[in-house]
Amino acid sequence: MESSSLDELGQILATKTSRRGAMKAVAGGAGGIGSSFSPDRPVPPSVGMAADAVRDAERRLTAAVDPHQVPLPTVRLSVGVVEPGVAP
Amino acid sequence: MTATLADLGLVEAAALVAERSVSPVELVEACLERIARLDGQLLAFVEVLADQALAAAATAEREIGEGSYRGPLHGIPIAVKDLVDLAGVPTRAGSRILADAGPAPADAPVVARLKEAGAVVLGKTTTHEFAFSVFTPPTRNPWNLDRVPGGSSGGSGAAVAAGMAFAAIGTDTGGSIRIPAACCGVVGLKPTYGRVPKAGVIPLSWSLDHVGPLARRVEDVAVFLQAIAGLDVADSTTLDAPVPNFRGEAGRGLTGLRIGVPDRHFDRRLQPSVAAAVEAATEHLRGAGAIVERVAMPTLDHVMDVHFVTILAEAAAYHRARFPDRDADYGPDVRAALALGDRMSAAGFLQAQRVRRTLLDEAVGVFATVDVLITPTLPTEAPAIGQDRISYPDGEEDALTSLIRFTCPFNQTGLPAITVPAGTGHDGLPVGIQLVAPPLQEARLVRVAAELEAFAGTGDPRPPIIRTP
Repeated sequence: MESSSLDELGQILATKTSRRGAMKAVAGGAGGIGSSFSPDRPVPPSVGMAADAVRDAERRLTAAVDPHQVPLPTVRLSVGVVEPGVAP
Repeated sequence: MTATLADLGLVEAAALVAERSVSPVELVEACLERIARLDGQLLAFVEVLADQALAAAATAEREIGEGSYRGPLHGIPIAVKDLVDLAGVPTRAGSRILADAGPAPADAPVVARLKEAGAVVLGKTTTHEFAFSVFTPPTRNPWNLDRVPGGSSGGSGAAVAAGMAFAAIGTDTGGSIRIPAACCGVVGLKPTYGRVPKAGVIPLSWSLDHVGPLARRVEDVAVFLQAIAGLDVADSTTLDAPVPNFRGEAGRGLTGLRIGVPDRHFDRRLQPSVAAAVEAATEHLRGAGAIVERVAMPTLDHVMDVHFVTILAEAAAYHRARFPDRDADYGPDVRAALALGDRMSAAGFLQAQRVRRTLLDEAVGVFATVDVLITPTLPTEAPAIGQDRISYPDGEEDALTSLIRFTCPFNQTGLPAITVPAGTGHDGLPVGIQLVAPPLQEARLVRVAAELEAFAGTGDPRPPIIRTP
């Protein structure tokens, strides 16, 4: 989280905050899907730059776990984090 | 402007409907009036179903008049995030990708359950494209039109705060119920993972996605959750667990309740006025008889890495049928995110899930010693539209990271979490307090949040835009 590369990744993904001046593209609606497509700033920096940030994140995550102590995730973890030993 | 029917809490309005002193048609008309007056500025709705809502309200009025009252949602106007299927209306998820989508063939189970409880759907609210971020253009914050409403359920947050609906469905993958609720000064509840069905809801990151309510009062979200919680045999992620009365612990008091204050992660990069609000709330809970203690959760240091790796990979998998073939039809931020997800290694994704497992184990250990965690919901008030970075006394960071940093750990663990308004901060915008409980303990959250709500509940909680004639 402290890494500048992750900060950069967040900034790339945050570019939508600056889109002003919405188009009203959906009939009958005040907001509308067209609003997403009138950016007043350039498109994000190259994905190649941010890919470095992803690699950094993966490296930090690898360093954060002890391969001998943390079980590999199972399908169960991905579909339900509440497990019998956890639920009250 | 004096308060109107549209400014009542859901449970308050329900009481008037039950005693037949107010009709559902009057409630719908009050919301439609508010939408007509304010939504040109707030842009919270993408679709307003005025005729259908009035017809449904008339039906509810007749049923109640005939003695067939279904309960506190009967005849209550609500809104649905445009990520959730509403029969007969296209689900466009704020994206050009779905611009030509046909009407949804059926209600999502959450919508069907709300209708069964008698709720009246007013329309669909704006979402950040595919719920992928937390700013929700073009919706604006009712407290200050130059600020974002939060997101991705930003339309739902703005609509509820401005009295355009009594409650709304939101979805939450990294905080997307709690963030707009905190930004807009309302209550948002992300239930336990699996508590509420997700079928008929467009996924963002299926192991992190949750569905839940936003409303103006704690008791309101409890009533809303009561209607939508429970097993759905068509949804393998829902839990076959008993659904308690979510208001069942209200009024028990807090004597002896153990409140944990997580250290380090929630102390960093925090606006002083937000820190002061959390401190005051914590002291109030202590004064009400709770036992407050610091708790350590060192794995929180890795939650942003886990979040980005997990969400980018799962979202890229969901969108693979359309991306990159139609990349030009995605907004630039979503396009960049999907391209990153495509480059994610399988090993990196699995490492993220291992760290996530560690975080869950750590949380389980913490809940062996405390009953509830208290944290700020956000480290800051709602950022300005166009603000990419946020400054704190100890540094700065990008706006997206700032808004999800305190909420996303509880998507990764699936733990239930609620945000409740706690006054305003330095810029005069709402500040939210987040409470987190062990799995399936939403009733405990309601109990503690109601105590905080009573503590913070002085003054007019309505945003200035509806106080101005």
